[in-house]
Amino acid sequence: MHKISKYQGLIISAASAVLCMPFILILKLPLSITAAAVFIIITGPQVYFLLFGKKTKNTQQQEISTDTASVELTKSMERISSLEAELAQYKNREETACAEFFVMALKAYIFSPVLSELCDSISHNLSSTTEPLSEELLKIKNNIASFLSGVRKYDDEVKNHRMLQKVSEESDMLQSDMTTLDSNVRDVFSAIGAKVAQLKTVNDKIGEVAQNITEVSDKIRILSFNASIEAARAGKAGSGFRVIATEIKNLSANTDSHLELIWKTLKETQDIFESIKSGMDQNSESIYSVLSSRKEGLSSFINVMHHYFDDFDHLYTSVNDIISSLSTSMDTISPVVQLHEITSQEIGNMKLVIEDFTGSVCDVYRTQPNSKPMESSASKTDAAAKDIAKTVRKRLTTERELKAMERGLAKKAPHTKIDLGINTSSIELF
Amino acid sequence: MKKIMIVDDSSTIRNVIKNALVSEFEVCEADDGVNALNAIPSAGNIALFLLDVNMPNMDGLTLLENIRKLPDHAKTPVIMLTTETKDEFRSQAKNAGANGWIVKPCEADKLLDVVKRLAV
Repeated sequence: MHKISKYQGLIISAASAVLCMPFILILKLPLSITAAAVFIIITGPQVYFLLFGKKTKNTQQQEISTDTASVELTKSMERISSLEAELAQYKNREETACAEFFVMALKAYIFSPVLSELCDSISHNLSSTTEPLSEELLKIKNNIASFLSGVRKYDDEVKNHRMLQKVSEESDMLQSDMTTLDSNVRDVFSAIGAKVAQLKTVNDKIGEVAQNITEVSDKIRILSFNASIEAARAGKAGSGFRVIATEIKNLSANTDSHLELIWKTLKETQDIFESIKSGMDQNSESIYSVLSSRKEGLSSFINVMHHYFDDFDHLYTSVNDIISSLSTSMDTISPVVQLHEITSQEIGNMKLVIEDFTGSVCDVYRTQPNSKPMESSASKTDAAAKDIAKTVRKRLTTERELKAMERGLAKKAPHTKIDLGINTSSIELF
Repeated sequence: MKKIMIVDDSSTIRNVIKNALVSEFEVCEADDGVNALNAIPSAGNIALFLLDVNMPNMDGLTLLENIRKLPDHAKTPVIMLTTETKDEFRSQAKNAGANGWIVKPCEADKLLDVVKRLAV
């Protein structure tokens, strides 16, 4: 079967049109007759070739090129078919991708409030736990600062031992006073003893004088006795002398009586001196003992004070070390005070990033030629929400998180029934 | 004081459980199945295991099977503590010899009550 090529057909058509034009324009033949004539002219050679099979050299060459063209045409047709199949595949893939993109955008659309709620929940939980903690830490920090400033007031005094020095000086002075007092008391007792001894000597001398007087009185009495004898011997002439002898005797008796009083007084004075000496001896021992004990007491007191101040010094150093350590610790944990603000801010930022990201996914989807509204397919929304719930549920461990997720899902898939197992019994014993 | 071993890859969960049990039990912990198996011989007398299901290196169900192979712990109570709600896992755990299945989150009081009931 010989076929004409596309170019041959075009040439023939062009030639027919040129041939037809004079008939139409000059002879004014009807268009149908003209067309029939042209058809005969065009198809005539073909019919001829078919019927008689006589081929000229040119015709044979034409046939060869026609065959080649035919093969090319067949190949082209096959290629077109293949491309059409490929196109169909691409269209199919595009549809699938579009559907998947829709599901992905839908998930982003539903997931966005879930993540937002989770972020809010974390932020809320953080503020309910770290805020009181921060306040307490702040209070502790202020208390430490206040305590530190209170302690610092005594810094110089304690460091320079002014108090200790003062007390020490006072104690030393007291001790010195005690020694002086002890010495003075001893001097006074010694002086009194000397005076008493002097008085005793005087008393003894008075005793000697009294003794002399007694002797003189005894001699006077003997003298008066002898005078009485001589007066008796003289008789009447000695009567006057007898009176004198009697008076002398009386004088001697009076002297004896005065001497007796003097001796008695001397004895009493002697007793008083003895009593004073004995009292002084006793009291001085007692006073010396008291003074000595007070001195020892004072010395112990001073030692105790020294120990006390040493201990206080150690205590003060320890308190300072603790305060210093606490201050360092507070500096270390002071970021916790700002934890709430900083972390809340960061969670807020993360929430915005999530919203931006999911929003941009949805926006990209919406710019697609065949995009649908997110709420257009209830069944796909339902499936996407359930898929999100199934995936995310595994990662959540607290009731707070689950409730946040429930709230988030309810925002974009309000009609989807999802059981996250919040209120169901979570314990099963086999 | 009886000893409880908590095996969970989340340190937060381990701390939450530890806080719930520490008043009544001594607690030791591991962050995956492999570390738990290594720690068991030196951990002493363990009265109960609390195992998470999804963990790296060795999951909770495999760990359960390995615990049951240990002569000392063939009968020691094991509670699976997980976010997994699939019945398939629950059945697997039951068949492997678990004594209980707790879905997180679980209230601390309830957890303590269950552990007190089962710890031997």
